[in-house]
Amino acid sequence: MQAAPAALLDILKHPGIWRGDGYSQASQPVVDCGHLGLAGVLPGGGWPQAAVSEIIPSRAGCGELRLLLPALAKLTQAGKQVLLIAPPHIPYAPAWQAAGVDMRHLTWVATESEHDAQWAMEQALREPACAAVVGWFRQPLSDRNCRRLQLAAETGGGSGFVLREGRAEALSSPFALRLAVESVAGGVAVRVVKRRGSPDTRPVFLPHDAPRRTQSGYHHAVASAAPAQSAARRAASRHYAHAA
Amino acid sequence: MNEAAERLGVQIGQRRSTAQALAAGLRLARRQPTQEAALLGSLAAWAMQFTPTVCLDPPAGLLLEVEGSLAYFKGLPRLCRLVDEGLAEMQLSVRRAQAPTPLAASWFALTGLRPNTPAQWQPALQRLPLQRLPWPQEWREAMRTLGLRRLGELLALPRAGLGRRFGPQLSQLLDRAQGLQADPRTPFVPPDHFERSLELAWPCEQVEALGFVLKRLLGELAVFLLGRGLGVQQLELELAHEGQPASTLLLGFGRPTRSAEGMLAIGRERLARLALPAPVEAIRLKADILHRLDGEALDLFGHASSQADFSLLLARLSARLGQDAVRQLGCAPEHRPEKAWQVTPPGAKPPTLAFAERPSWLLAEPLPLAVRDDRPWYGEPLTLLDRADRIETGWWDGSSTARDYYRAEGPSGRRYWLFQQRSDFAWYLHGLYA
Repeated sequence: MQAAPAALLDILKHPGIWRGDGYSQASQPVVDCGHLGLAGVLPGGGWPQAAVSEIIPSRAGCGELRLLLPALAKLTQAGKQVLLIAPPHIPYAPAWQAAGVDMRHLTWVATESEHDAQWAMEQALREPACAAVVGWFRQPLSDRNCRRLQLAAETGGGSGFVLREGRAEALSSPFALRLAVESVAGGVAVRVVKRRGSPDTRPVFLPHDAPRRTQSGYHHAVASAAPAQSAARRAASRHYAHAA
Repeated sequence: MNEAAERLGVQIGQRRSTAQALAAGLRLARRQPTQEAALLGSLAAWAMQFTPTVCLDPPAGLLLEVEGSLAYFKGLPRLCRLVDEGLAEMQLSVRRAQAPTPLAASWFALTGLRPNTPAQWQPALQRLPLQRLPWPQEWREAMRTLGLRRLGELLALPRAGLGRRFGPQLSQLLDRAQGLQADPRTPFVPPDHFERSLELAWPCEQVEALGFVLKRLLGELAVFLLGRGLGVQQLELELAHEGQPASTLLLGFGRPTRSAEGMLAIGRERLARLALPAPVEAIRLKADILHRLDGEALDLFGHASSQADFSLLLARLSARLGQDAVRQLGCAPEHRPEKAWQVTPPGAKPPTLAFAERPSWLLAEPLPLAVRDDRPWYGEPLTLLDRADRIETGWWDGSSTARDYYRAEGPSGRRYWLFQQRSDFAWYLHGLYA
């Protein structure tokens, strides 16, 4: 009966079985999230596929992209499509590219109304070619609309992310995975508000990157010699500053 | 005439009053010969997927030379099944028959008396009733007075006498039907563009109702394209109004396609956003440029087809949200931060450039910041993290920039990208390290 423990483990992986001593071990397909600490608290160790997850930053720009960029970079590098729907600011191409995102596979969809944004997100999630769809919403989504998005993600098989600013406790939604993101001194704190399996309220700390050292390829913005420089322009752009 | 009318006893050739007495709710429609000819044409284009030799047999017949295609389609029964399935999908009811000569096949189909097995076509030909063959009235009249009822009886008569009585054409027809004489036909040459218009039964004011008409037109287009292995990337839809210039809609699909569903989804989106100046009287669908679709390589996992679906998604999104709403981004060789990014055409490879550490969000407009205790303030006092990154450029094109950029952090831990204008030392927020 040597095979028994292995067989038992296989059985325990069934999504229908819930174990009281930890989060779900179900072998749900996931996208590697790129943060070791975070992978430890996410069910399956990554962002769930064929599902919509909710990310609640306390304020826009408090670290929500730090959370997502590694996964988005991996997906675009693999040639898969990523859509950004109604982002609050301009996704700044130089930074996204530096984070490893292949810009050819990133599409920015601007919408005029919340309704359009929801429609666009649903359409994109329904499309199997979209590996990740990230949507920003200012108003709370109704339960019905949340379920529509979830259903669309199940049809298309991609990962959906709904981002809403606010206090996680004040908002509720039927999404299976909900994370609150807050900036703290020296980094970003991520707290799992809701997940499949047992709750875990200890926040995960993602430290800020150490300031990048000046690399030999460029000194700073002025000196990065990408544009063909004329003599007059070279004279105008004297070197003043250094990235520490 | 539909089945319901047939069940009530309405027959072809009846007087209008008789037919209306039999079926009280009878709706009479005028025949539209041009529409019928157009339908026959698109059906011929569709049939070209089964054989390269398709001939029109006016007014309502098509001849397909299938001998050469049998091996490819793995036999006649399977080919017939494919034809029937395709026709059922288009909701067309046809009478189909096959025979070794085109005339015999045409007569079998016309009378509906086809042989039980293809081998028995000659006895079946003998049994055909003369009165139901597409011959001139005077011939049929003369045959009736001669007491001839079946084709076999006619064939048994001496040819010389027949020729004197009916002229040489009849003798030629009989020889051709039996395969004794060659029967050359002109093969159908499909048009190199698609254009179909539909007159609406009554002026239509609702855009939703136009969707149904569009569905039908696109169905015909898909059939036309399928037969020829082609696709379209752009369609022109013209809505004709009475006493007003027609409204024109251009539907673009990102990539050549022939999926009626995909085209319809985009068409519906565009129609839903259209404000009609007047009720629509007729719709015209035009596809001028056709693209070759077959022979496009698909990789092992159908990557090309998913690419096509993705372009369709983008086309659908831009149909509803506007052409400029769906963008792809890239870096631009510029030092001024607001010009260091650009919207790139889809699929283009943007230049890979090295930049110093930049924030992932850029504010569309720099936000002026207040200063408290000599420090910039944005909801919290901001501490500068490192030395200035000076950008001083652009004096030659009118948007001269002289700024010192800093990374800053507040007590909350949020990180900002600020700059100080060098001309007046005012502080601005320009980005967020999200």
